[in-house]
Amino acid sequence: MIDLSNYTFVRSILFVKIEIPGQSVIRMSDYKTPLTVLGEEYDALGYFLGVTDTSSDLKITNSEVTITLNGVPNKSLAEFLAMPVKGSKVTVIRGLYDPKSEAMLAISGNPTGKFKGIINNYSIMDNQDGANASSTVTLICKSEVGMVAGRSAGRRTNPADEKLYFPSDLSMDRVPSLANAKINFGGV
Amino acid sequence: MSWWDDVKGAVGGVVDWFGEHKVASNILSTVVTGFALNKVQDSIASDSKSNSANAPARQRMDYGTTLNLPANQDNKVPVVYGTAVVPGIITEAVMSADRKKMTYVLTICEKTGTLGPSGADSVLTFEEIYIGKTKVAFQGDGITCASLTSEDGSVDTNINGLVKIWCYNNGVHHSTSPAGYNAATTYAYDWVPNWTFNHTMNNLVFAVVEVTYSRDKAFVGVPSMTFKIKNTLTQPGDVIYDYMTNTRYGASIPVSSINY
Repeated sequence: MIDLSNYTFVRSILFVKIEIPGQSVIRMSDYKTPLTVLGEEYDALGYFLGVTDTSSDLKITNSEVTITLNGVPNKSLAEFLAMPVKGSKVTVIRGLYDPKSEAMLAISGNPTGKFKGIINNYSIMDNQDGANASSTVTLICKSEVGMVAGRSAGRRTNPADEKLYFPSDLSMDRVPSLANAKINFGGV
Repeated sequence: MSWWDDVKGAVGGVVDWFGEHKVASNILSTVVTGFALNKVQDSIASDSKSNSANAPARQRMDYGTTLNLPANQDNKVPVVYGTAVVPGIITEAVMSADRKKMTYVLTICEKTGTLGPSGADSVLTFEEIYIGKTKVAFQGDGITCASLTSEDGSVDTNINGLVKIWCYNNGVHHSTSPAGYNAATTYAYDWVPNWTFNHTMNNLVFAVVEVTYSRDKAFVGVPSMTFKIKNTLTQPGDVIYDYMTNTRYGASIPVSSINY
């Protein structure tokens, strides 16, 4: 637990790190100038970066976080869509700063982890504004707990499930006809 | 109706004459009625005797047993780590033409992955097989059931030769033996009628069971079978890794996302 009792004002800054496979790591913060946290420099997106609230729980939970990137130039969308965004690792940390000195508070536990997970889905919304048309990219992130909890339902004993994994296998094809079938065994 | 033919034959020649005389006609009516009743009683008695004579033959008629197989499309194939006793799920059943043999397939569990990212493949073995609460002992071939041993140690040999079990631990081409036996290597589609090499049972642990009907030995149905399965995938780290990465029954997390 971070002790802030000695501070009259503090500023919370969010740092988002996205690791897209095969691409350079994207680091950004909602602060107005670039900042270095834990030895890594985060670009300044200011109000263009939005991260939904999360709740603090005593036990780990299956929570989702939505990261919003506003003002993405339309000319950059094609590049974005070409990247394997889904499944990329996302780390969100929170740093507490002194708003006057703009220095990170030198207290234990700062910065602190807020969220770890992967990008589960994303959406793009066009903002048509003449020559300055831009888009809003929304990244829906699933937590690591959600990744484990969201396991496959498993294979069931029916042809559709079997062929989903092994399209040419005929082993389960007769299960529908056997279900509730009455078979005489031993009759003359 | 043979008794009525007798009636007609006996009185047919004189009935025309009596038709012209009322009193004689009444007498004839009474005589005919009495004769007819006697014939009916004789016929009933005759049928009764006939039934008694045929009774043993009818009792020997065996109409078999009507089975309602517990196949279900919503049964989930379980995953076994370590050792577990699991029931088989019927996913195929074929009756012989004379209805005396039934061959069916019991799907038992998923074949799991490797022991860690670069470890050996996991191996699932059939430690014990149970029919009801009794443990199956096999003949020397490791396939044909010889006896059943109950919890109190009593041995029942009625099953001897009536049930055959072929065990497979990773699809139709990977036969295995129950622990303590050495069964010959076989392909599952050699035992299941109508199966071909297109019946693959990929990544499944299963058993092919052939049961022979025997009214004399009170073996007239599909026995309830459970299998004690042992998986070499037992270490917690390996299990969690398999669970996290497997795309069929796990969380499908990319291997690159896991620090093993």
